[in-house]
Amino acid sequence: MASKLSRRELIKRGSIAATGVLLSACQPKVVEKVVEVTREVEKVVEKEKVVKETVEVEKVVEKEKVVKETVVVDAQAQKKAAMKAEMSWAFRADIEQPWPTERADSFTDMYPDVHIEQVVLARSDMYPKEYAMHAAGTLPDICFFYHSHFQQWRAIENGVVMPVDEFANNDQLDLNEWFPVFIDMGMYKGKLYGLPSWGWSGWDCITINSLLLEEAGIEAPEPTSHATSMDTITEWIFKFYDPPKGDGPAERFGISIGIGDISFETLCRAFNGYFISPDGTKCLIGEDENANQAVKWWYDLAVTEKVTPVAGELAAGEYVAWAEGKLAMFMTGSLGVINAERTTRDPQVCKLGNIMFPTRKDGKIPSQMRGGHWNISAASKNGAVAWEFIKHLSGKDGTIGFNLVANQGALVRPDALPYLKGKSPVYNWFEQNLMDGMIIHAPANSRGSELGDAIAQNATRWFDRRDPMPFEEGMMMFHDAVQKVLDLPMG
Amino acid sequence: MTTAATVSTARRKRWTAMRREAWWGYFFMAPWLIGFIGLTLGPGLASLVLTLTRYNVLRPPEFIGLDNYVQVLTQDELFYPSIARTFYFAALFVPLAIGGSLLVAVLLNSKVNGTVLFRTLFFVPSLVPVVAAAVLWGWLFNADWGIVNQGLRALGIPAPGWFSDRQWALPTLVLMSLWGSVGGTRMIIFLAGLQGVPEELYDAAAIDGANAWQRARHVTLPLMTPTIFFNLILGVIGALQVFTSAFVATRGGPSYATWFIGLHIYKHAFEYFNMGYACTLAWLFAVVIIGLTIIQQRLSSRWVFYYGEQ
Repeated sequence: MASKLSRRELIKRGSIAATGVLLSACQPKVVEKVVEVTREVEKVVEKEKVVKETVEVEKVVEKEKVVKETVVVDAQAQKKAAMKAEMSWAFRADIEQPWPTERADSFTDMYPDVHIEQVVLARSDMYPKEYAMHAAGTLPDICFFYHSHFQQWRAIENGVVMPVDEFANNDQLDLNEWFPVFIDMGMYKGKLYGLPSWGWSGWDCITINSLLLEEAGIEAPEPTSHATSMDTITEWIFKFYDPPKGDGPAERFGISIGIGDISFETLCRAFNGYFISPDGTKCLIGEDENANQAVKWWYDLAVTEKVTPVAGELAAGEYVAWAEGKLAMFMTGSLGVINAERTTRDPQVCKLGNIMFPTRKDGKIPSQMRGGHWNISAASKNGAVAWEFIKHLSGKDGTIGFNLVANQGALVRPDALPYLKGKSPVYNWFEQNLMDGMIIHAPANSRGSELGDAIAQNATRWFDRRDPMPFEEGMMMFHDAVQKVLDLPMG
Repeated sequence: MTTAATVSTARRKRWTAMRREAWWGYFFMAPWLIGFIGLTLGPGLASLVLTLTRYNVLRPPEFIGLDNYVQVLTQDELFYPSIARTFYFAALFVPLAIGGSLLVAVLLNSKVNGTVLFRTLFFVPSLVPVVAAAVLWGWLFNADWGIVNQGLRALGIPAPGWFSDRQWALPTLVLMSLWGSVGGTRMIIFLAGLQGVPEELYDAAAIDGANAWQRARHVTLPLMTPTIFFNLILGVIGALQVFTSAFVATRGGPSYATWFIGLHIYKHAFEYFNMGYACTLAWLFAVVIIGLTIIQQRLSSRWVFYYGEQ
């Protein structure tokens, strides 16, 4: 008679079988080991014989024959042979394919023993990810930080990325291939920490629906002209503002100014001041007359006259509202103008126009140049190969593709600009600023995130037109909040 | 063999059998235990240690003693307001969520056609990811062009700013959270509780002349108190951990109006890279939640009735 299998026994045997399967599935991978064998070889060394003997002899002097032998060395072949690496490359998710794959593949075509793994990081948490990877020792060989996002300084201070001066010197790389301002953005305490990736000229400007100017019989300013005064701009804002019918929103807002550090810096510079002092330690709003004048102008538009939308009011964003004719103009920079050009669809409703801010009293053009770099992880074991790759990314072909294929803004090289200008005349408008633009002033303590939050939260209170706050009171509240962040120790 | 020896042998056999059974129990528990220790308890204890350090992720933690605690409790201008705001959110959300879920469960417990369909329809919003819901409600509640305000204006009712208004942002988050919460798991738990109420009690009450309201008041509600208590505990803990909706919909604004303690912890940990400080915030708030739970537990004896107990 067959013996019965009890439940207990069944469970016991089943679990043993499952454990066995699990253990076998978790077997360590068999890895081929390359073992270096050291062999001792007997070497015969001729000992030098020194004989001192003084003998008078007839001297026969043989003339030394110097034969120069020219050896042709295939440097490229030597370099190719030396380039062997398994590398990883981190980049932002909005860098559109096929640019990253084309760059990686074309590099591998040149150096077949180099393989590059792409590590895509979402924009929303790219820095936390990079920092966490650095802490875990898994930061890709090639990574990225932005000068203008301030994280670059924190990364350098904490030894996340390595300087590249040695590589550049060994290659005798001509750094003039890039606009000096973007090379300077990668310099920290006298050392260079990468090659330019992103970079835009930042000539602060106002994108306007020029159909409105045409309808009003006003001659549109030249896109590159700095002759339009702030008074004229103000006049146009009110002229093109179309008030609400009833309780609803305005039929068309005069201007949109997004709340953020960019807007504060733009306006302060347009009014001959600065938002953050050049050394990155002081908030000048509340202290500098020019900066105060700038924010008063904004306050009057937003709170007193209500010709600007409230933060969050434009559900689909400024570009869409502008393209649909619900927004006469909005403040932006060169990259924003290019994006606006892409957004316009119906020429009967919206036509791209550009107003540059007027030249400052000190002769400078209001701007805040921003950019980022391709960096090499300080822990990378493939520094030399990574260096070659970032040259490949930041070279002429890489930069052109970064703009036109990956749809990014990288106006970092003079030799790439003609190709970009061929695609859109907008690139012509901002070319001059690439030579002599004003760089953004980063907080000296690298507290960029804290600064952004202090600005956003306090400015929305200050400019809340539903519950207005007196201008002076709001300004001091804003100043104190920002200064508190700037007074924090180094991040 | 003597009786004592027989007993001793029997005891030894039983003890060995018990031990064997216990080992098998641990063996099956092992995967969960390993996960709990490795992924929950271990990191939790590590975070407790980090509260005594300055740690920016990029460099090893630096011991600073109780400085983080002192800073949180005496210098952080956002700590107490964010806790107060979080409690305010919970005070609005929890009663409405529990009341709403109970009401829906009572309706679904009634014997009408289509209860299965209605149950599904009420449950579906809870399946929508919070991020998607936040984007959706952001569009619906847009102050100018949102469909909600268009409807209000059509009725001649003043339209608030919703997410863009300091006074309305938090209540709007409550509304948004209720949409995904009322018909969710809480409703299912209430439904199960309702279906556990003995029919004979209703019959007895009906015989005594109790009307529908009286039956609900004196039969349903008392017997549902354990279920209500359970949902209350979980509801309060969940509400106090509010984060995702604020992070997606308002980013803590406008003007800190929705800057909850969960967001405050996130900011310090993952945007400012003050990991030690963030751990301190988290542990202090955990103590608050534990304290509140203990208080609820102690108070429950006054109003929770378990059927069958004296």
